[in-house]
Amino acid sequence: MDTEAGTLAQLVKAYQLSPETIVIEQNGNLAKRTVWAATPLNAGDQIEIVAFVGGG
Amino acid sequence: MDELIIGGRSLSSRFLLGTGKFKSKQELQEVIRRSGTEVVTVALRRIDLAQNEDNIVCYIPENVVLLANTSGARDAKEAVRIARMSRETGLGNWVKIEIMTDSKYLLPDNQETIKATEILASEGFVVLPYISPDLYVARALVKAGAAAVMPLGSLIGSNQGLRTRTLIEVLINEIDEVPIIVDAGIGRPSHAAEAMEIGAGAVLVNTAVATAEHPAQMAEAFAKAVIAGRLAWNAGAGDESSVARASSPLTGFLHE
Repeated sequence: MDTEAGTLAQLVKAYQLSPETIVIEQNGNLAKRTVWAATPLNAGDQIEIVAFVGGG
Repeated sequence: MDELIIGGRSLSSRFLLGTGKFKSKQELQEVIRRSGTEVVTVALRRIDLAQNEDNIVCYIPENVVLLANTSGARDAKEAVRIARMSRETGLGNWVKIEIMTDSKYLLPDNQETIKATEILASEGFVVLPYISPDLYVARALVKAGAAAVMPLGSLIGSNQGLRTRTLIEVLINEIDEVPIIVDAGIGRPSHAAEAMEIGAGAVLVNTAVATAEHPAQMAEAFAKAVIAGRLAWNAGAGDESSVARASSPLTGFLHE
């Protein structure tokens, strides 16, 4: 994706995601919610954003 | 009180509900209410950034435990990764281990499930592994720290009922440390009642409720069947006989 966001927190805000329901992996590592604001987003980063959905 | 204890938590409902395949989140909300369930399964998926919709957890009451499944995992390593991500939501540490590579029968890989249970239980998760019913596997899971063992009644989503009944009965008779929860294949309330009558600790149902014409009504039907089956188990059923046994007195007939 293309984004202007410089940190994970800015990314969450840019896509209007509710922070309390999502989990982010950055380059295969879990990024804890508490560090999103301080975690820079670099070009080429592999970002995985997941949330709960219905399932059995 | 006849409560179900899983991972140190006391539950009064023995009906666990899966949240997949419902027509809408509003429908799911009504189904949860009518089911009386205290544990619902959810899955973890990549979100669609183009479609910013309400998250499912907004429709699940706070007193209901979220049991995150590891669907999509093909081995223990992937299941562990999904479980760790699920816990990172901050919405609990209960995980249903579900590991499979076969897409036709969706049968769980028992060996990988044992490996994942060992790792996740040691990390403090409340682990509920989904397995093909097997006594040795169940014992290994208990040893690994599972909080319950969840054998399949029949193939996932098949509505075929308790095709594995004999094997499930073995687990119920031999595993005392944790509840045996019949997961998968329960298609009708009578199947759920049957599972409870033979001594299952609980049942987990999804497809049979979600694909009913009126899911909320079906949820209530299942809830009542689970209660009836449990009462029957506690009551202790009489034995079977191959010949008739009269219910009325065999003396004092009018023709005598």
